[in-house]
Amino acid sequence: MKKSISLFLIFLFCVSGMQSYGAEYVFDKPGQHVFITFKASHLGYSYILGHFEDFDGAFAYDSDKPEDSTVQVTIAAKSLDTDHAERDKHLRGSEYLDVDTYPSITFASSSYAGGSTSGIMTGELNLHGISKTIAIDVSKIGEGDDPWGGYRSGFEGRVTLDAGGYGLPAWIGEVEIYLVVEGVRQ
Amino acid sequence: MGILLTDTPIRYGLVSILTHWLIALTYLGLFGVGWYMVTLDYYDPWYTALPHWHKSVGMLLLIIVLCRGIWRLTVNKPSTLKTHSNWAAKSSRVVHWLMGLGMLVVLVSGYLIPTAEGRGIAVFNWVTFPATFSLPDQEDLSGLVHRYIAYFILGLSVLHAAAALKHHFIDKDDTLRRMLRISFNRS
Repeated sequence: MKKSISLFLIFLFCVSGMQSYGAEYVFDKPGQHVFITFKASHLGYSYILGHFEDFDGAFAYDSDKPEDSTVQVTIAAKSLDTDHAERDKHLRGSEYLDVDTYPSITFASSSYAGGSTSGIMTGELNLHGISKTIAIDVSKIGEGDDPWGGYRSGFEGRVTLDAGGYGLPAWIGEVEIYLVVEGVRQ
Repeated sequence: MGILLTDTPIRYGLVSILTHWLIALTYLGLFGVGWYMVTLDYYDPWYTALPHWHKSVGMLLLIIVLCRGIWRLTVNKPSTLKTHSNWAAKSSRVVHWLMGLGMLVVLVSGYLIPTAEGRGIAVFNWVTFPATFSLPDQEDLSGLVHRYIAYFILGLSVLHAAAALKHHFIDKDDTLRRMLRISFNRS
């Protein structure tokens, strides 16, 4: 009996090991090793920088099969932060992101073109209730074992959006998005 | 012979009269500016000045309201006119209390919006009221309270003013005149 239980446990271990051999990653949200920042013009003389605090996502990545890479992200629009409570309140309001009506900003990839270290991740962005296909420049920062028994890989991405195209005030102009995501392999 | 400062059983003194009208007019001004300033476009020349004034005057009004609150709680006000009905006396007491509390709530909630993340309020760039605490969603929740309590007080003010005018023009009694006439000591 004991033998069969231990055999069963070994079997389970192997199966789970096989499954985790895949290249599915979840964002390291618990450790907050994920950042989505944005930069927009202020009057044409300077920039406003901000970020989203609350978002989560997952990606698939295998350096041998980069073309199979995928990523999904969901951002809580109200978690926008520009270090100024009144401005944040304003940006969450109906004149701008209208987060009560459009609580989530989502991105889901549809295709990837490029190599194992950099390329273009194309997918659908839904922002302010408007969906558009965007292409994010992505590149790998690194991957490998972490000191605590896990396996991680990290990427950075850049994309420029036109605020007016998403039903936001056109005078905002272009908004540069810069993101860093670190995933823990499952 | 000097100006009567404190209230007597039949008269309002200068402190009560002055703070009453100062708060009333300032409140109406703040309401109007607040109403208008949120409609301004980002590139409007008044976009930064009006909120700055609104916040500055609001903070000063908070001090005056607190002073009047203490005054009202410690100094007996003139007694109700004998000609007022029991119903009128009671409802006016309720309205006065609601206006006082509402005034405190609207001013404190206003203070809590820009100070939600540790930024103080610079009153006319002269003295800064420091931020106190940061609660989750503080700026959004305070904003809602600020807006609706502001409407509520305006509604109460209309009732209050209508009642005063009714006493003045229909009942032809002293109610409104007591709040307008500055009295003198006989000594």
